[in-house]
This record gives sequence, structure tokens and C-alpha cells, in this order.
Amino acid sequence: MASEIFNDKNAVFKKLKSKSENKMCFDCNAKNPTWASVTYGIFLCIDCSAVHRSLGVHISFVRSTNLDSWTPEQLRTMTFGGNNRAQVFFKQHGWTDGGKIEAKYTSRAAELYRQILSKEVAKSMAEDAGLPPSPVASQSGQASNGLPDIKTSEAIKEKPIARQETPEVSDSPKAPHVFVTSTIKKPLGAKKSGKTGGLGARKLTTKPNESLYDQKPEEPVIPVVSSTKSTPPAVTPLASRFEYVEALQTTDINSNGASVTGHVSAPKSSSFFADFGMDSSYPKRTSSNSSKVQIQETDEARKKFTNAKSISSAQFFGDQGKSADVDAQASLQKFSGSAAISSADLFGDREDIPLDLTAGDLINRLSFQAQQDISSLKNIAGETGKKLSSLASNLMTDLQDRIL
Amino acid sequence: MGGAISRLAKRFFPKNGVRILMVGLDASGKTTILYKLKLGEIVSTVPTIGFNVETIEYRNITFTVWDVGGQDKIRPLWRHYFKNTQGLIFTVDSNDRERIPEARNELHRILSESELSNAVVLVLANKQDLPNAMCATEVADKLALHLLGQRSWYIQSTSAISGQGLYEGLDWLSNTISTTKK
Repeated sequence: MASEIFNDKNAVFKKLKSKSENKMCFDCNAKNPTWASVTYGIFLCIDCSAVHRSLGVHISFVRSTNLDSWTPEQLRTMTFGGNNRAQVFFKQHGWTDGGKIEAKYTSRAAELYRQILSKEVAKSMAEDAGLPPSPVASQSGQASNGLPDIKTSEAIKEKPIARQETPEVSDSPKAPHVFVTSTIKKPLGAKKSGKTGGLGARKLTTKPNESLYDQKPEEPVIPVVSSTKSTPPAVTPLASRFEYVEALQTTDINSNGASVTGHVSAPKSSSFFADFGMDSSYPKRTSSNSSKVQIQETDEARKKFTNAKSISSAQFFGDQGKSADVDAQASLQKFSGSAAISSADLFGDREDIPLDLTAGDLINRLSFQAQQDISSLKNIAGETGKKLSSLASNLMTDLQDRIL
Repeated sequence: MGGAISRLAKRFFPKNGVRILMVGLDASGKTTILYKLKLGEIVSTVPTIGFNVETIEYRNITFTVWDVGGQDKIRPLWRHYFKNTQGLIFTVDSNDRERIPEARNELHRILSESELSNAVVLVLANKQDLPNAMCATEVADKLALHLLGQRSWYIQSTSAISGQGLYEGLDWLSNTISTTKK
């Protein structure tokens, strides 16, 4: 099945790495890179990946092509990107090889490229999701998987003039293949680690020439979508990565046309979040499908320990016994501003009046500590005694031996 | 004679060895934390393939900290380090909101292992120096720490780069482990 091929990250990378552009680390030209920055769709060596990792995932999200599992979105990003395209883009914006990595990837140009790439991928994902799986799709998928891809990249190389445009050109080809991905999607829902990789699908025979001269770097995607987009997944918000999970859910819930921004945790818990009105500023996606354990999130800790820097289990659970919400609130406020919360903190105060929480906790700890110290002192004293007596006896026998 | 004295001293002030396992998603800062604790400085780290192990002396306790690589495909290897682990340090990239659910799943998965049933859990909400980092409470919620039941846990916001919060976490570890031991 074609869909299986798309699910296979190895197949995707095999294809991508067969291109000469991807055979060198994007930053340092080391050979045969096995790491990648998904954010930019570039291949890196392990040393350069270290630098990228240090920038934070909002700048560059690094994955190993060998040791990590990849979502279809991520694989798609890699296919859309590639070292060559990124290089062209950076060069055009004045970043030549050998620049300082950190400055390079925190630059405006880098941000722009991130957005362009993510937009493209989101768009193609949306298109794919919208299409019903058809047997035809698998065929086209295979076809696209093969040579056409390479063609595009070659075309790009040939026309360096078209630099900005070229990337966009590559996009347009995918549109025709949209159906391919749709087939892929279905399997995704079932699979946790989402290797539904529909990446090979989009590049067709492109004619770079046509689009060469309309240079709109910012609008990479040519709307060639012949298919209706039934799903409006608002997937792009954070430019950097795509969550295939969301897309999955959307597909499942397609009928709802639900926008994917809210927090979705395990499927069952969706209403849960609604109850708590979690902040929607950061779209959270749950990879619930991947986990064997179904876990629900709460904002309990946030309510209780507003800005605490730490929380312990004791602190956290300490107020379970209190029936009144008000009490809990009060105890929570105590922890606001603390950097840590421990379980002990939570449990310690079960019987205390909320206001006495910290004091009681402290006293408990102190007395505990004191007891411990005393007992350990006793132990030490005992051990010392033994040691000394054995030493003494040794000494005596030694002396006796010598004297005799 | 000198040997005897040092042996005596050891006898009087025994150093407790504590075995700590540090895991977490890839790029959450495990290795950086380990060497920040060990050396007091920031080393530039490459992705850990395999593990690092260092002993860290703190408060008269010797922590043997095992830092195991966090890439997807090598997470199944974590379980080989579970045995005799008294404390688990779980590091989280507080800046990585998208993968917090993944971190949560990993945490709950490994804590369901019987070999870790007695281990105390220190969660480090790392990378607080980054602009958009989640605070400790938010991380606590998203990791669903309230579901950990009777296990004692502690979540501490840290920045491995500045070292902020690291020793507070170790304080809790040493206190908790020494009290549970006796």
C-alpha cells in the first residue's frame, strides 16, 4: 500500500538523503548528517544540532533522523524544505555560510522562512485532510513519491535567479497530489507515533520558469488547490512545528469542522478542559493517541499555586481534606510566588487550618529533622564506641605481641 | 596511622550513596543540568546517545546521577536503569508547549513500572530562562502530577544555564530520600 510507504519515515529519508543537497550538514558541511531541524527543513550533523537545540524549540526544533519518531507533518516539512532551498533563501537575505549560527537563526530572515515553510505544510495538510481517501490517491502518491520530487529540486538549482520564487514553485506541484495525503491520514488516527508520512506526495513536474519572475517571497504557497478544504485546521499558529495530532483529531471530527486550537488532551477529556476554561493563548495538543496511559490534565496546580516555582506532592494534596473551595484557595495563595511545590507540602497540612499551612509544615519538618539528627547521632556514637574499642584492643594486642 | 584516621572519619561521617536516574524528553536539558551540577559550568552538549553518569556530592550525600538520552527510539532503554533507583529526576523543557503531553505520557508510563514504585520524583521545569516558558504550576498541571497518588514528588522550576533552582531540587531529593530510607 502506498499509505504504508508514506508512513515510513525511513523511506522518506532515504529519498531525501539521496539528494546531494542533503548530504552535507547545512551549517558546517559535514558529511552524511543524521540530524535535522524540522523548523527549517534542513539536515544537520550532530554537532550543529547541539547548537540548534540550545536555541530553544521556538527557534529550531531538532530531531534525529534515526533515533526519533517523526510525524507526517514533520516529514512533510523536510520534503518541502531541504538544505538547498533554505540555503538559497538565507543567501538571498544576506546570510552566507559560516555566519554565526545563533544570529543566523534568530534573524528576521529565519523567522520568515519558518513561517513560509510552516504555512505550506499546514496548507497541504489541510488539503489532504479535506480529501476523501480514494484508491486513486494511493497511486498518485506512489508516483509523486518517486522521481517528480527530485525534478523539482533540480529545477530549483537550475534557476538560481528565481530564488525566492523557487520555493513557492515547489509548493504548487503538491497541490495536484493532494489526494495522496488523504489516504495517509486515516492510518494516522490509529497510529500513535504518527508515521503517516505523506511527504513524498506533493512534488510534480514543476515549471519553475513560469513563476520565476513574480517574486513574492512571503507568499510561498500558490493556491492551486483544486480540492475543497473541508477542514479548517488553524494549525499554523506557532510557525515552527505542526502537530499532526491535531490534524488527526480534526479528521476524525471532521464533521464538526472544529477549529483545532483549544487544548485537546486525551480524546475523552475534551470537555474537561472546557470546564476549566484553560487559557487558549497557547494551543495545546495532546498526543493522547500515543500514550498507553490516558491521563487527564487539570489546572488544579495552577489554581492552587499560582506562580509557585515549585510544588511538592504534599503541598498539592494537603488541602484535599478541606471541603470548602475557599480554604483551598487560601492555601493556594500561600504558595503563590514560590518556585517549588512538593507532595509533602500538600499533605503536611491536611489537618491544619489553611492559614497555618506553612508554619505547621515547617514545624513538622524541623521536628522530623531533629529526630533524625538525634538518632543518627546516636548511631554514630555507637559506631564510634565500637570502633574505638576495637582499635584499643588491636593496639593492646599489637603491643603485647611486640613486647612479647 | 593516617589511613586509620581517614577510615575513622569515614566511619563517623558516613557518606550516603544515592542512586538517581535522570530522564526526560530529548533536548530538555538533562546533560546540561548534570554537568552544571558536577562542574558548576555550562558545557556545550551534543545529543546524548547512550548515557552519562557522574557522582555529585552535596550535603554529605553522594548522588550518583545517571543521565540517559531522551530520543524517541532510545527511551525504551530507560528501563534498564530503573533498578535500585531511589530518586527519579524528570526534566521538562518548559518552553516546549507542544510536547508537554508527550512528556506527561512518558512520565506516567515509567512511573507505572514496578521497579520505580519506591522512587521519589523530582520534576525539573527547566529552561525557565527562555521567554515563553511555562511556570512550575502550569507544568505540574500539564504533567498531571496530581495523579501520582501517594508517591512523593516535587516540581521545581530551574534554569540549567543560570543554575537557578537546581540545588533546591537536590535539597528536596536529599531530604526526602534520607527520610524515607529510615
